[in-house]
Amino acid sequence: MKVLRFTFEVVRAALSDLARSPAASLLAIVAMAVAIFLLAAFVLAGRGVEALLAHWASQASIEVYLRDEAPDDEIEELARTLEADPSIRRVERISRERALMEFRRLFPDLADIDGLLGENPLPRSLRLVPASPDPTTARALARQIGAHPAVDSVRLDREWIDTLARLASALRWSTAAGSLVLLLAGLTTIGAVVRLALDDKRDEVALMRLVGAPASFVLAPVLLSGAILGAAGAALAIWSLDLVRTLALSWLEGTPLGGLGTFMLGRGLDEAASLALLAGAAAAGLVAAGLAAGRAAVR
Amino acid sequence: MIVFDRVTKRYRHSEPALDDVSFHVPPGEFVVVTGPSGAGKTTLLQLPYREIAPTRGRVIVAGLDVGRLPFRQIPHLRRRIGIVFQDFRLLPRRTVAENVSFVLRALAWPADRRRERTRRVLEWVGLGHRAGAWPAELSGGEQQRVAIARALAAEPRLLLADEPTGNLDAERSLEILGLLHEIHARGTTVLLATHDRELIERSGARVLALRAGRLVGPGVAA
Repeated sequence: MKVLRFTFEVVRAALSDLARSPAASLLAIVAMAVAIFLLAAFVLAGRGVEALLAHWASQASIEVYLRDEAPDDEIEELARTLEADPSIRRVERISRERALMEFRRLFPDLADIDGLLGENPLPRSLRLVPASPDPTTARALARQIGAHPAVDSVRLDREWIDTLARLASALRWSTAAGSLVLLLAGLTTIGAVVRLALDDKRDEVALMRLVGAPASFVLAPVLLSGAILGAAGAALAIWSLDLVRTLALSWLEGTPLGGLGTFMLGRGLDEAASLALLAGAAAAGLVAAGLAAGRAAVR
Repeated sequence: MIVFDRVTKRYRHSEPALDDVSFHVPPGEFVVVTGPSGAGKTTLLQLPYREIAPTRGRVIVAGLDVGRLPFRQIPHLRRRIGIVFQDFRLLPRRTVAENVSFVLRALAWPADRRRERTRRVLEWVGLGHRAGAWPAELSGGEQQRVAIARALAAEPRLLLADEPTGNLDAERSLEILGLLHEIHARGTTVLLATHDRELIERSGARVLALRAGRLVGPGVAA
């Protein structure tokens, strides 16, 4: 019963401390919310980019250009061997005519290339889609195929994906670092608010000590205030993130970017992640409050 | 109740505020500590509730060696002691009743007992009708009576009063002395620090006189 009363008094004191300076409390909540919003948004965007890159990587092909003088049966034998290879998902035979057709579709300005050169300059080729999106496996496969006597050259159609992945990774790290700085600023604001509240009720704290209130009765509301500010900031961030995501998805729907939007933003924060974010922010707020209050709350 | 055994208190780089002071206050006694400004009265009163620790010697309160008390035990000691100051130290943003019940709230008393005790103690000091007033609306004498009510709220066995009449006129001072006598009559040990000669004479209590930190001889006022 005494523990319940103690808990009730601690909660009441913490809420009363926060209500004493509502503007400062609100500022701390917003600062935390901005930091957590950005952090969570970057995590979500990073997850979306990873999924998109993995999707593109699974579609990336290896173009195997064949020698003009290579006999048809040798090429057919190579194609069959590749089709039987479990590390290759799909093998497409591209004739010179089809290569020209694809070239014309891609480069309509150069559609008359065979007329200009007097003949179709494009070689026969095999288009392979590896079973695994792993770049190392794809490179090894390309090297192995390149050594075949019927093969003129091999083009690995994934350099741009790797470049994008490197870029996304660098972006993820720099934004994560930026978000952490913001988070630190949010926690500093919480510390300042808690310290201000403690200074504001200095006479009450002195009186509490004088009459023999336990140190926990002075310290607990301080820590709880920090935890409440942190959790409130996280709750605001989670709500804002969901709102922004919903708005962005509805705005992108029906536009050429709709598919990309669904890929990037389709998965929001799940319940476990939201709870972890709330708990983490509350714990961080508690620690910030404890550090800011320091010995003032204990002695 | 209180034993000072060859107590010396020296603040950094200064003459001792208390120098080799020894005395004994049995439970239920009313003792006045007197002396000129700077004689060491406040220092003497701060030692029993461990606001400060003695540099040398022992201070025993209710069987506890206060100087050697671990930090976490200090709240337990203070719950047995009521303290009244010259400047009242009321919380200006709380009503009279809240000032008193604040102490009980900090000690986690249940709400119904808190309300009852606050009502009773305020009536006892004659301020039951001012329970909803703000401290700034009260006279100095009334504010000091609230401070006494607050000090008594948690039913301490020892009351330390440091110049409680220092900011009051003669008439209000005698009212406060009367209140302290009533508290004493109910069995509470009272240690009153004052340099008010009339108050000392009217107290009828044993007097501990201090001069430059030394006890210059206990006696009983006429």
